[in-house]
Amino acid sequence: MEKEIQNLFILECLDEENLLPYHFFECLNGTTGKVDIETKKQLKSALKDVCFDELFNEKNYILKGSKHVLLDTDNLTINQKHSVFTKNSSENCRFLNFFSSDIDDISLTSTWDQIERISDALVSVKNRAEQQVKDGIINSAMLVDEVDADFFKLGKYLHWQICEEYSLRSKPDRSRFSPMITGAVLLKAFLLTDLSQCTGSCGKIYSSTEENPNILCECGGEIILVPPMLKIENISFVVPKNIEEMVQDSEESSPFKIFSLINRAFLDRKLTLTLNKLTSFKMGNKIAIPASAYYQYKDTNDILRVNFIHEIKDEREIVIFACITNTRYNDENFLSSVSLPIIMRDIKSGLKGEFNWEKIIARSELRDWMVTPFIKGKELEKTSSFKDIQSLFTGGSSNV
Amino acid sequence: MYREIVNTEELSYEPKDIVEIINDFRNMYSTLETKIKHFVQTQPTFLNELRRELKTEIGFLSPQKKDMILAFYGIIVTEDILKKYDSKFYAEDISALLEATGKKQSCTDDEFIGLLASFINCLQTVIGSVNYIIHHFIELSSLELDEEIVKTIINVRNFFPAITESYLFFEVGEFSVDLRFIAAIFASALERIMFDEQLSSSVSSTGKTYEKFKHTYPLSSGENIRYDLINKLLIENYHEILQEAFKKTIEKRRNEFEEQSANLRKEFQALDQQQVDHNRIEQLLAAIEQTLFEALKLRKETTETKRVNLERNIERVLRRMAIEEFGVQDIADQERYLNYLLDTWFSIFEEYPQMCLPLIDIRLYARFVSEPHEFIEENKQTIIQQLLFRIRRLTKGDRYTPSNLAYAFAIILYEFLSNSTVQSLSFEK
Repeated sequence: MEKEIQNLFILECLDEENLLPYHFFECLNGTTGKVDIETKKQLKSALKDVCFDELFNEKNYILKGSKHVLLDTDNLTINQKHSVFTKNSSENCRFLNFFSSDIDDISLTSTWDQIERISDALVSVKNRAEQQVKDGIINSAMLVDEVDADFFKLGKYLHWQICEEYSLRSKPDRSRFSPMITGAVLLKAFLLTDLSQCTGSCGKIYSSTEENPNILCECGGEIILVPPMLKIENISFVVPKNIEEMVQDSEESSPFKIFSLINRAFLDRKLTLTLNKLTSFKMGNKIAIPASAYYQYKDTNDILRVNFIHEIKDEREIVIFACITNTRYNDENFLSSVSLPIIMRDIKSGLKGEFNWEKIIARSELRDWMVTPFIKGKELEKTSSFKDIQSLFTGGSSNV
Repeated sequence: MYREIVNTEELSYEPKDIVEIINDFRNMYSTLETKIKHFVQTQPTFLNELRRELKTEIGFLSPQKKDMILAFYGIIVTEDILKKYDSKFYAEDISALLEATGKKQSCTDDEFIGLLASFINCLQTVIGSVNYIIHHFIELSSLELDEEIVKTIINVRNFFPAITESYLFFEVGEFSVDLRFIAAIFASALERIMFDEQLSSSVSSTGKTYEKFKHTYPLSSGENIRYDLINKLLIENYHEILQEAFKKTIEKRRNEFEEQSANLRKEFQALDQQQVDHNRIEQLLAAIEQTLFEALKLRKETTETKRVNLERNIERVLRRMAIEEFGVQDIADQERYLNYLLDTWFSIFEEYPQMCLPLIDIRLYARFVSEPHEFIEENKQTIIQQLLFRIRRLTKGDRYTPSNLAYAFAIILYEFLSNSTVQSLSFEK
């Protein structure tokens, strides 16, 4: 039986002469990678929702890719579908890939390596074709055709590697050096269902309880029904007690920056909305919960990986635990990632029972680390260190 | 189905490590100057003849560099660094080399020696890597794969690492080289192989091909042009030619794969354990064949890991054979293990007669080289005795077991494969 596989590619290249971007799309279905012309067309018209600048405008850590499991909000069961989102920016080209299927063993790092090679290859085609346009050998339309042909060919090659060759599957997600666990986060998230959203510039979300007879938003954008979303309400951090002295960059001990990093592993809302407009993808009542994410430091090429586990507490609440590993450190005060599977197992079984966060941590290998009280996302912006969070709850004084 | 037969991931070119590249360059560079000087002093007649022959082609060089160039060609030929390197081609290639590295106008003698060292190392490596790439191309083209996928694999997993490796030979000599020149070396090597196999009627020098490439491809350097450069200059120009030239070999391999595939299907359908075991033995024997093919035809280095793997495979073959024939692994009739191995040796000699050389009296070499198969047939008993002697020595006189026989087999096989005379001979059928 043909597997339900959708593989979406988007390429944005900047036309150096006019400084305008031009886009390429591809959608391949099934194991054999059959071209889905309809989705390609729909994607073209839905493109306005994909904000490339937001997705690629990253400062220190670059998100390379993330893996997700899809949760069906109707019956709160994990759908058999998994998705892998990868992206890469090379010179003036930006490449996005979204692979949705029932395949759960895709190696995120191997796939990203391929994405990097593919984008570099496409840059090489574009550079040569641009030079030929300058030399008057080909015209601009031919340039687009040439890039498009290789974009399709390389997309098909990636698809084949996953679906038929299996070379990007069942491989451990490797790191160049043995990474250390540098921190962990627990997120209490709430499911928001029956939502409408403005597709205009404001992106305002309307719940079904709000009476909203208008079809158009105040900003002039159209209001449409959208897939459910997760709203992160409370956050607790677990970090070494003297983390400020251990990190090389103050951002790595900033609760807000750590939260922002974790937050980027969730599928971009605008991308979800775009996918929802595609008949073959239809997010419907599904939400994507991250399973792992992979980042790279811009300056040092160190790798930062976040592993996630989640537990559905009731029909509205989901708790998500994220553990961060980093190849940048070798300090023994952090924990070796060798302990990661044990930590994830202990936390997973702890989350299943009656929820007592501090007790769960006390029973795990993270027991010697500092656990902050739960703080709201908005309040995080006001804090610059973990001590600030503690002081919010102890009336200004903290012994941590 | 092809996945059960061939691991396509393995059909990739593995480039040399940077340390190896640096060592190759250093070795060539450190001896070259002395060799050139020595050649100039000892071979004046050869150099004069060559100078007359290449008068026009190397006219642009200073007299001193002319001497160096001609002497270096003499070294290539007399030391067998490269086989069949036409002198006219060599002169054209050197001219293109100087242009591609921007050294045509000014180049010190020291730089010149370095440039020649980089070039010849690069040329040797390309000839080796092109053999692999053609082998991979044939294997991939024989599988049920989309043609575009085959082209992409040949580009990104074969030419790309091979071109990067070749480029590094210049980089370690601190030269920046036009990538189209490197592509031209590959193109010329591809043409040479097809010409040698009598699959094409002409071959161009690297120099001529470089001139052509300069007119067709507009960019010359940069990390980010390699994929497209390979696509435009090598894949688009040579894919169809290679397909046509190796049509019969591809067809033959395809039939073999289909047969293997049909056997596998039958095997799984019937679930006949004996048949499964038998096929497994054949598969394991194929591992030996792969080692021989890589070492003797592709000139791939034999590593210790591969030897250990081979030993394990042979041990498994013998154990399975014992179970298949006797129902037990530890058989009383040890000679059966031995006979089985001897048969394997002779099937190796059938395909690669040169493997027999270390077992032959040196005085009989000339006869052996003229009629290897007949010689082996006539001297079978002597060869067996020699083999038995080596096996006994390696099994230390113990009773034969799958384990010690496999050890002996792998050691002997590797000893033969490292023999320089074995490596230098080739008996194409």
